[in-house]
Amino acid sequence: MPMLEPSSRPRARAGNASRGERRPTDRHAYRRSVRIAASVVAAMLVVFAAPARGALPRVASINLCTDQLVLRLADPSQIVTLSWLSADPEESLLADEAARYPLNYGTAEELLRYDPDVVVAGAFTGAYTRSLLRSLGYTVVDVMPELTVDDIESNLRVVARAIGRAERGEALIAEMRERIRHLERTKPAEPVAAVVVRPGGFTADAGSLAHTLMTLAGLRNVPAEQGLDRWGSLSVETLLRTPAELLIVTPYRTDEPSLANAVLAHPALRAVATRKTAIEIPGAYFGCGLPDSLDAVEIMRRANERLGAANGDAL
Amino acid sequence: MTTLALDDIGVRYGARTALEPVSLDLRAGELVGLIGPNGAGKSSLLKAIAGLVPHRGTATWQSRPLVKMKRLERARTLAYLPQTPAAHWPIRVAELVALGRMPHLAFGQRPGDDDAAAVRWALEQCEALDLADRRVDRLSGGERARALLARALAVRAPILLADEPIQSLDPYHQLKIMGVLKSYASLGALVVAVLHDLALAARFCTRLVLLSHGRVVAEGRPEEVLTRSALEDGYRVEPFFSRHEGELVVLPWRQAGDASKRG
Amino acid sequence: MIADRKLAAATAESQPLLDRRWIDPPFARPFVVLIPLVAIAALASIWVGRTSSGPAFGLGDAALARTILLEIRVPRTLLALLVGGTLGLCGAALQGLLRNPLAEPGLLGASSGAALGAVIVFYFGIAAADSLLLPLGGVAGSIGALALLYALAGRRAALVTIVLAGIAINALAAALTSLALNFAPSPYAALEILFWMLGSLADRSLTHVGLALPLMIPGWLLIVAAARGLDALTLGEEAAATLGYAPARTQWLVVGGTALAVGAAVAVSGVIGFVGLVVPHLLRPWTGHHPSRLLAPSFLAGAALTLAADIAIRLMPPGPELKLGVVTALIGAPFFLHLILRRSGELAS
Repeated sequence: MPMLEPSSRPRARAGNASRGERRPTDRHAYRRSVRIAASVVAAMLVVFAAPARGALPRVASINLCTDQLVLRLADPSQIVTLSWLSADPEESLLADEAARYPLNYGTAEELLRYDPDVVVAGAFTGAYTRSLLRSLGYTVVDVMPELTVDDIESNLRVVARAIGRAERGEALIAEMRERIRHLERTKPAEPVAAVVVRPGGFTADAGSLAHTLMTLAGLRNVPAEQGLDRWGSLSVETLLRTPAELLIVTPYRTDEPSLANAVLAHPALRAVATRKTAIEIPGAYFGCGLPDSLDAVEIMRRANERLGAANGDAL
Repeated sequence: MTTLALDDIGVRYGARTALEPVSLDLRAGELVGLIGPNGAGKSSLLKAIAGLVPHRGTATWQSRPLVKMKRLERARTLAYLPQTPAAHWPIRVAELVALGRMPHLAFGQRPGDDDAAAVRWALEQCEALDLADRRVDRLSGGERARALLARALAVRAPILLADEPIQSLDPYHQLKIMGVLKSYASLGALVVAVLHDLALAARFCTRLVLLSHGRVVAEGRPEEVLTRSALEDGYRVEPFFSRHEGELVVLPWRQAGDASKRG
Repeated sequence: MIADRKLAAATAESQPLLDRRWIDPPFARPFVVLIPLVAIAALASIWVGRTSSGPAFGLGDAALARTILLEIRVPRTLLALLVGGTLGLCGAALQGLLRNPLAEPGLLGASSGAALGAVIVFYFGIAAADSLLLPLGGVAGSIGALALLYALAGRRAALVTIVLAGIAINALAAALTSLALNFAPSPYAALEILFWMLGSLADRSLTHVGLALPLMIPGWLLIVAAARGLDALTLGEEAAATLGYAPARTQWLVVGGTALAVGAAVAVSGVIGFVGLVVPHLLRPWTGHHPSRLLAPSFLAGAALTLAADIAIRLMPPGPELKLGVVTALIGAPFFLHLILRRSGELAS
């Protein structure tokens, strides 16, 4: 009887013995029914069984966002390697967890040596690396950056299925949806005007993850309403004139000198910060969309509530 | 007799006519001097024969129009020494002169012993053999002029065109270069040189063509061309004539029409 | 030829015929060193790899060795050879054409034009990374840049004019590339383009070799056809024309060959600069100043230099891989500055 085989790769797989097929040789009805029963049981075991070799694919990730998705979705025994950015607390929300795994720098030669079953990559991770890995016979899953909650959901689903953890994916999605429903129910009546200031004078344009999170927090993204350009940059002067009550600053590598951070240190900006309420949200929240991104929503929500309370007192 | 037949050679640069149609027969074995005031069209005529500027009319050598020849064949027929000869890379003189052998080399063919012989002969003619191993950028003006003339001789073309070959050389080297041109012509080549020096033109050239304002004013042997009236009309100078050692001496003496300077 | 008998008589009087090496010194010596050098560099490039913990020597364990060798090391080595060789060759040819040692494809805008062409083709979805349209886009961009150079500088331009025109074209290509970046589908795509342009050979496959070669080979052939014409230009344009090598012909051969070969190279590797500038300079004292003698040695030395730079990248401590274009710029820019300072007097003339 034919056995279910894992998908075979022609060239790169390291020393995997090929599985044979056994052809039906039944002559007696009895033997035949035993065999059918056995194959049904075997099929059920393969589909539903606990992790056995070949049931859970070995997973490598070469992109910061997919690293974090994999960390949330995969069984620890599956994870072969994650990209080096995932262990950097400035970039990643799950840096401590990621640091427990071997880290890669995203080259084909490294991944060959790790020998994963599935490679998860961002759609904009090096095109050469991805196409070389595909031509070597690896399954490479491309994942677009997450901008909305639907994106987070669909990426969770895609990655979960690719790594054989569809159930866990659905569970996380359900949790996330529940949390969002709660946030929607407790949303303040009046959205508060807010503006995000990121290093380099960037803000959150209407299509961004930050905008999505702000909206969930019950904030109005003022610059987006005013029709920002595609790249979402904001001069300090525009910032000063923006009628926002809440200033959300995302510090990033503040202990390293950079031109980007110099914008945040602009005296005019600091003056604005004292007039408006300013809160800091680590930049890592606005980089990749995860269920954990909702933590940022809660931070913004609390600031929102404090502001609402203050305004209420003032009225 | 081998002849370079020029039929209605005319040159225009845009709206300006540099040379009215000229027809001449120039025979091998002659050193032909093209003389005339600045802007008379001498260089234009030379360049038209060399095929360096667009022109009307045809130049024919041994009954074959030059433009109909294949490019290497034409290059073997006609050697040209530019007015401001250049040597852009600091190479050895022997190798510079060897560049003159290019028209004789097919694609990929390296120079042979006969090319080396031609180079040596050319250097000897110009009395520049001692310069052979020197770098071209380290030569004096006179040395460089000899080296570049040797390059033009190395082609061993039956026609040699030289545009003001003795300009900015000292008298010693002027005489030397004119001597080389003359002896090359005596070997059977046609040498055509643009010259400003009337005295040297008179002494060395076997034939002169006097141009003025784009037209041929006079043409023939030096005695026939270098007449008082021709020089006053063509150059606007009054000449001084004399003879020394049996050769004609012509010097521009004073500007024509300047009676106040008559002594 | 003028009357051979008279000439033969004249020659016989002079000393016996000399060996042709007097006018054409042997040119094999550079190859005796360069060919083994390239071979060694290529072998080293096949031997050295890079893993998450830094450099790796050898091909890994037996099961992976064949894959690593054929799919990773060999394509990278081949491309370094071809791209580096192309840059060296075109640099030598351009220096011969312009009669000045400060020319190279990058300075004249060929590389940035090619990059713009490739960026437009790839990142705006006209073609995929594995399509032949990509190097064709690079060639189109390179041709456009060089055509513009000649339109700006003219055929008889002085060196200063040509260099200034090259600066203008580089600026224009950079501006247009920035414009293209502005219309990129997302900031991530824009970042990817920026990194691509820094020049790299990482994770290229044999497909890319197959894409570039069909355009590089004709490019090289055109340049080789121009070799004699470049030598003739030593005497200036008029003398060259009368030697049978019209400057226009030489010019089109060199420019066309550079556009094809550099266009294809940049389309595959991004912008790698200064190789074409440095290599002919290092070789000139050795091969002599004839432009034709520099061509093949510059190809080999360009290949060796690029291989060496690429190997150096792999030997760095663990971390993301440095870009090849950055390394060649680190080597080449100080060299360029040194050249300018040394020749400042000659530049003024």
